[in-house]
Amino acid sequence: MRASVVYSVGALISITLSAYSAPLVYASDPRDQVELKTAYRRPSEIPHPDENRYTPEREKLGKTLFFDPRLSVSGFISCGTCHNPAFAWGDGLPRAIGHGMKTLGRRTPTILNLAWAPSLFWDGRADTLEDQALGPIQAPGEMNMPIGDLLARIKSLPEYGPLFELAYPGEGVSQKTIAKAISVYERTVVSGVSPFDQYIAGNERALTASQKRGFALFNGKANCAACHSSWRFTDDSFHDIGVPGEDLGRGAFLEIEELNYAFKTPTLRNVDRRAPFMHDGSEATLMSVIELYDAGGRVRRPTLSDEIKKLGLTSSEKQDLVEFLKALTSVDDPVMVPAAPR
Amino acid sequence: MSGRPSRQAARRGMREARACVLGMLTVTATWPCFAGEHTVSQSEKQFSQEQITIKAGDTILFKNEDSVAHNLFSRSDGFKFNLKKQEPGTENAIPFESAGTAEVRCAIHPKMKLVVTVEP
Repeated sequence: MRASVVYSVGALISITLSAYSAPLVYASDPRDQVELKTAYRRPSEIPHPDENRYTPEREKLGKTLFFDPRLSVSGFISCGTCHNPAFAWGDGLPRAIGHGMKTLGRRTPTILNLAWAPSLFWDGRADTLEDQALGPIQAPGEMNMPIGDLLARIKSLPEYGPLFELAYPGEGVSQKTIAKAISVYERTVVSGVSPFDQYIAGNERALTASQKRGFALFNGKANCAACHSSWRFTDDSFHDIGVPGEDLGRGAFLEIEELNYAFKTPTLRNVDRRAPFMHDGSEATLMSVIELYDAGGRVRRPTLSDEIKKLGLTSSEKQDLVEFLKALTSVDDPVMVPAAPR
Repeated sequence: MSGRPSRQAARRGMREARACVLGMLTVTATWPCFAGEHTVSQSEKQFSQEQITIKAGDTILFKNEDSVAHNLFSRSDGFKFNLKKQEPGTENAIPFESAGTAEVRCAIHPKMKLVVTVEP
C-alpha cells in the first residue's frame, strides 16, 4: 500500500485525460507506443474531495475503524475481514461470507484504487465512498449493525473520542464522521508499482517477451482495453459480459432492462492475487476468464455487451494475456493493523 | 401561349402573398415562443459539457458521437426518462417541460453526468 506519495498537478491532469482516452491499438510506430504508454501512466496524487480532505489524523481514525470488528453487531466482522490486505483487499472467496456465516450473493470486490472510482459496489449503487461506507456495516446480511447501535458502541469506547476530535474537531462521533474517516483511509489504499509500471516508465526489461505480446493483444485483438483502460485498468463501466446466472446486477438497481446482468468493470491491478473472479466468483483462474472472453461470453443474451465477441485467440495468445496480467501485480508493504481503542 | 402570368393573375398572387404574410404575422403574434433546442454530444465516454441551463419547454438533442453505445437516463423527480441503448452515430431529443433540475447520466458509464437546470 502506498498511503502517502508526493504528487504533481500536471501528472494528475495527464492521467485524468488519459482515463477517458479511447482504447489504443498497439502499434510498431514509436510515436504510437509513446501515446499508448502515456495512457497507462500512474497518477502522482490521490484525489480527495474538498468536503473531506486528507489529514493523517483522519487516515488514522479511518484505519482504526476499518479494522475494528466491533463495527459489526456480532463484534466479529470488520471491513477488513472481507477487504483483507492479505488477499489484495478482497477475501479470496467465490462469494462473501457475512453475518451468521451466511454466504452472500456476490464476491467481495477489492478496495484498491477506489479514490478514483466514480461509483461503488458491483452495481454502482453508491456514487462516493462516503455514501458507500456505512452500507455494508448496516446491511443485515453483512455486518448487520443498526446505526444507532453503532454510534452507542463507539461512544462507549473512551479511547475513540480523542481520535474523532483530532480528525474532525467539534464534529463528534456520528455516522457522518465515521463514513468520512473510513473513506479517507480507503482512498489511501493504492496498488504499488508493478513490473508493468516500470515498463511504462521506460524500463523495457521489466516485462518478458510474453508479457509484451500480451500487452499488445490486450490493446488489440483481445479488445480488453475497450473497458479495462487507464492505469487502473478500468473505465468503471457496466456490462453484461456473458456470465451465467440470475443476478440482474445494475439493471435491478436502476430498473433499466437494458442493463440487466451488467456489473462494474473491475480493476485488474494485482488481479492474480484475487482469484476467483467475476462478480460471483464463477471463474477460478485467469485462464478461465480469458476463455470466457474468447468464447464471446458463456451465455448469450439480448443484453450482452457489444464489446463481447468471439476473439479467436490461439492458446499461446491466451497464455501471453495471462502473463501480461501477472505483470500488473505489485509487491506492497505489509499493512499494520492498529490497536483497537478500549 | 406565353409563359408569363397575366396581370390579373399577378395581382391575385400579390393579394394571396399579402394575406399569407399577414396570416403568418398573426400566428406569430398569438403563438407562444418556439421552444429552444440545445445539443449535447457524447464523445470519449464524456458529455460535451457538465451542465446546461435551458428554459421550460426546451429540448435537448443528445448526439452519440462516441465509438461506443450509451444509455442515458434521468431519475430526477419530474424528469424521469430512459433513452435505452443509444448506438454510436444516433441522436435523440428529450423535452424538458417544467422548471427544475435534472441530472442526466449514462447507465453504462458512471463518469458521465450532466446537470440540466430548467428555468421557468
